[in-house]
Amino acid sequence: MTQKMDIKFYLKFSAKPVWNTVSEIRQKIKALIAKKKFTEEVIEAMETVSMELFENAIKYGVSTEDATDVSLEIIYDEISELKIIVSNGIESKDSIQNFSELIESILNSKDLEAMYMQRLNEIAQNPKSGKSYLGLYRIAYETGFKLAYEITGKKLIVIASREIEDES
Amino acid sequence: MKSFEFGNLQITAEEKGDVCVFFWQGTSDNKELINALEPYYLEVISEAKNKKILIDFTKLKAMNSSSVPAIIGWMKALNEKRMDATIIYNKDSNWQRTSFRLLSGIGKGFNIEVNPS
Repeated sequence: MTQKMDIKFYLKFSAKPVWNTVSEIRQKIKALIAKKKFTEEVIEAMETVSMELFENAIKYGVSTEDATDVSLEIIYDEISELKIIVSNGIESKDSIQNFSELIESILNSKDLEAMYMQRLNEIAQNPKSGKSYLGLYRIAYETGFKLAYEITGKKLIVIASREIEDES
Repeated sequence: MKSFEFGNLQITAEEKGDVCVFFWQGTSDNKELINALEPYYLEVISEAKNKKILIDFTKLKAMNSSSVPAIIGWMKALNEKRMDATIIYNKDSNWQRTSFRLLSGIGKGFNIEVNPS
């Protein structure tokens, strides 16, 4: 973990793409963001976004030459924009087609609640249906963070951003 | 009635008269919760015949999205056995309020009340 002082704050975590790192990272993030003077709602939203993105990266990511580990960065900058950036290795652009189509659908959705509800109804038909990317619906609908993504070689970078009022 | 523990999640079962109460506590951050939880809820549903079911999430600190199919699976199983069931959540918790507001819509389809507490 590193911290820089030229922006309001900057945190970075890296981990091997194995599930047993999830709880440890969750606890570290929770402890660090609790020290920042955000509202309880913002802290809960940050925790939700961090963990949903980190868990997706661990679940679906692979180790590649462009991204051997999963990384998570939290940046709170001078224009009061909070960014949570998670990156992981991917086999190819085609291997994440479902993910990229879902992000596009979320970005273009005029009714996120209806979209999320439709997904929950699909899960109600078959709760063991597997890969759901439900965390992305949850971020978009519940937390107020906007999602974006970039692909660089065999690396996927997911960016969640939200303007936050500085309460420090 | 037995309780359930998996990773950082604990579900404590208590019988109070004709009601079986299941308290979710800790943090639900497992990878595929439904695979571990399904055998448990099928067993306790079978044991709780003729009793009312209350699933209490008010003490749960946090949950990931992998918890949602498990909760829906439990609701579905209760509905298939035509059991009288209620879910309660903490209305003062932002994440619980937003998550369970939508799950109340799913609950309606399964004849399960999802209420703030």
